[in-house]
Amino acid sequence: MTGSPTPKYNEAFGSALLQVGEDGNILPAGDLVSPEVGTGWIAVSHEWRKALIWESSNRVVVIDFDKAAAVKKCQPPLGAGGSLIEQWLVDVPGRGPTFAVYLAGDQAGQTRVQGMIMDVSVPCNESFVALAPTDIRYMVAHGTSGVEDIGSDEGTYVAIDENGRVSKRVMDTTVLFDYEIPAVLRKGMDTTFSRIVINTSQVSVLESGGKTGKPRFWAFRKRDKTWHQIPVRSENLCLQSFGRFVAVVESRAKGDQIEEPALQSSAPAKTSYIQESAGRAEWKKTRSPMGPSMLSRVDDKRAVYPGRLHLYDVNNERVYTIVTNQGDSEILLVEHDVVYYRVSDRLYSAPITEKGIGAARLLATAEAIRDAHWAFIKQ
Amino acid sequence: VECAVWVVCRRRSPVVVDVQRSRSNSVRFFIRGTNPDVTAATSMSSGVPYWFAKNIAIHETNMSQFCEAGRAQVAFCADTTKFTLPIWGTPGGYGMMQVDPPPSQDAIWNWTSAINAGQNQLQDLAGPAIDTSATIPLDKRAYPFWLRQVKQWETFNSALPAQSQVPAPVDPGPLFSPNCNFISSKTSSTGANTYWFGDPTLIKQYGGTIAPDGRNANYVSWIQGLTPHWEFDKANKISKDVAYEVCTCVSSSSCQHLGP
Repeated sequence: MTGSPTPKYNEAFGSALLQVGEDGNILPAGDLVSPEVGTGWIAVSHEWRKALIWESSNRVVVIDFDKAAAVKKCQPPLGAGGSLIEQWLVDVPGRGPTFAVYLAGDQAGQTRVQGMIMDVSVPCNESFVALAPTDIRYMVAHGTSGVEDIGSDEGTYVAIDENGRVSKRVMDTTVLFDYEIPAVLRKGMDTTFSRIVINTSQVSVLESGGKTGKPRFWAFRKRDKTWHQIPVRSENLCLQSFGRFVAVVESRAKGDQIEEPALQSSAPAKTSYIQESAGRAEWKKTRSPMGPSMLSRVDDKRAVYPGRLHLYDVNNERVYTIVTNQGDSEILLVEHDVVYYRVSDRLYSAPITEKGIGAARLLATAEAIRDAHWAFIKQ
Repeated sequence: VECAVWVVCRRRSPVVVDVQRSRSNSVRFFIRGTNPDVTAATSMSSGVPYWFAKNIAIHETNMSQFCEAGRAQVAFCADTTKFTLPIWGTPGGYGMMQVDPPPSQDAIWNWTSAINAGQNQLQDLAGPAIDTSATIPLDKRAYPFWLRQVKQWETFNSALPAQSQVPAPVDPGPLFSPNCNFISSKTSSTGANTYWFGDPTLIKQYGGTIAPDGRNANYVSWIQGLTPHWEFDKANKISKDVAYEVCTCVSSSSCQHLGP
C-alpha cells in the first residue's frame, strides 16, 4: 500500500494498492485516495487486518486486508469548531475498532474526542460516536512506517511522573495507563514526557530521549508485564510492530560511532563514524503522485540512515539484523516467520530462522515500490 | 491590406496597438502596455486587506505590469524587445503581482485586474483567520494551518510541568527586517510592525513553498516527532527567506532579493 500523509507539508500524495504477482510483476490493485485529495493520516492494525486512511478532505476510508479493498468510506459530520490535536485508533470494549480524533478549542463544547466505528456492518450515519477521554487507555498503535517522516506515525505523547506512572491528558482529564516504567530504565531521563510508539496486544513501546540523551525505546511485554530496553538505535520514531516482532529502521546522529559486523566471525568488528546516509545516489530524486522524493525529506544533519534494519523479538529479546546498505529501506511486514522488506525500489522476503535471517529472495523491482510503506498478504 | 482595429481602453490601462505592414503584405499586431504611475499603483495595492500586498507588488515587479526601462529589475525585462509586454516570471506568473496562474487575460494586461487577482490569490491561500479543523481537519491554508499548530503546541504543553514545556516559536533569523516582527500569536493584528506567524506562512505560500531540494514545507510548523519542537522552513526555490524579502520591500530602494 502506498501513501505519504502530509499534515505538516504543503503538498499532497495519493494512496493505492499494488499487487505483487507470483512472477514479480507489480500490478495496480485499486486507487484508495487520489493525489489531488491526499492523505492526512494512515494507520494499520495487523491484528485487526485493517488499515485506515484519513483523507485530507476529512473522509475516512477503511481497508480490509482480506479483501484487499476499501470496504467503508464515511464523511464525518460537521463539528462544533476546535483544532485538530491528534488522532489514534482505539479498541474500546463493546464497541470494537474505532478511529478517534481529538479536537480542542478555546470555547465551550469544542474540546472532544470524535469516534468513527470501523466495523463495515455499521452504516456511516451510525458510525460516529462521542468517545470518553478515558478510552485512550485502549489505544492501538502499530508504529511509524516509512523512513524519516515519509510514512505515517501512530501513537501519542504521554507524561511520566516521578514514580514512572504514564498518563495522558485528554479533554482536561488525566488518564492513567495501567503500567509504570521502572526507575532503572528512567535513569538519566531529563524530561517528563514520552511517546507511546507502539501499543498492541503483545507489546507497548515507549520512547524517551529527553532533552539531552540519546533516544531510548522501552518495550513492555504484556505477557509477563516486564520491561526491556530495545538494544538498537534510532534517532526517530521509525519502529513498527508485527506480531511478536518490533521492526526498527536504524538511524544515527551524524558522527555517531557505529560498529560494522566483521566479515569473518574470527575477525573483530570494525568501528567507524557515520557521516552520511547509505545509498543516496539511488534515492528517489523527484516527487511522484504517491510520495515525495527521499532527497527532499532526509537531511543527514537530522538523522543518518546506515541501511540497517532490525527485528526485535519481544518474546526472547533477540535481535535480527538485515544489512541493506541503503538508507531508503524499511521492513513492511513480518508474517509466518518471513520478513518482507523494501530496499529502494526492490521488495525482498527472507525467512527468520533460529540461525538468523535466511537468504533473501527478490520478489519484485518497480519504481512504484519506492512509495510502498505498508504490506499485507490477502487471505 | 485594409484593416480595422477596435481597441477598448480601460481608464487606468492604456493599450497601444501598433500595426505594421510587412513586405509579405501580412499585418502584424503588437499589443503594448504602459505602466500606471507608482502613486496610483501604491494607492490601489494599499487597499488590499493584507498589509504586505503592496510589498509583494514592489518585490515582484516594482509595481509594474509591463516591462519598462528603469522600472522592473526582473530577468524577463532585461531583453529590451520585451519592453511594453506584460512581465512574466517563472513558472507562470504574470503582471504586477505575478499571480500564478493568472486567472484571466485581463489580469495579464490590466494592472488593476492584476492587483485584484493578487488579492484573490492571497485570500484563497490565507483562508479564514479561524481554525477550520472541525470541517477541514488538515486545512493547508496559511491561517488555519498556523492556528492549528498553535493549538497543538498549547495542548502538548498543557499536560506538562513548566520545566518540560516547549517555548513559543521565536523567529530564528538569521535575517531580520525592522519592518516585520513575527511573533507567536493567535490574532493577526498585534501592534506596529508586529504580526503573527500566519503572515509569513501566507507570504511563503504566495511565493511558493518548494525549496531547492524539493522540500515543500510551510514557514513554521509544530513538529510532533521524536522531540516535539517548532521547525522553521524559510527557503523556497527563489529565496532563502521570501518573507524577509517582502518585509524589506516598503520601497523599491530598500527591497532585497537574496536568491536561493
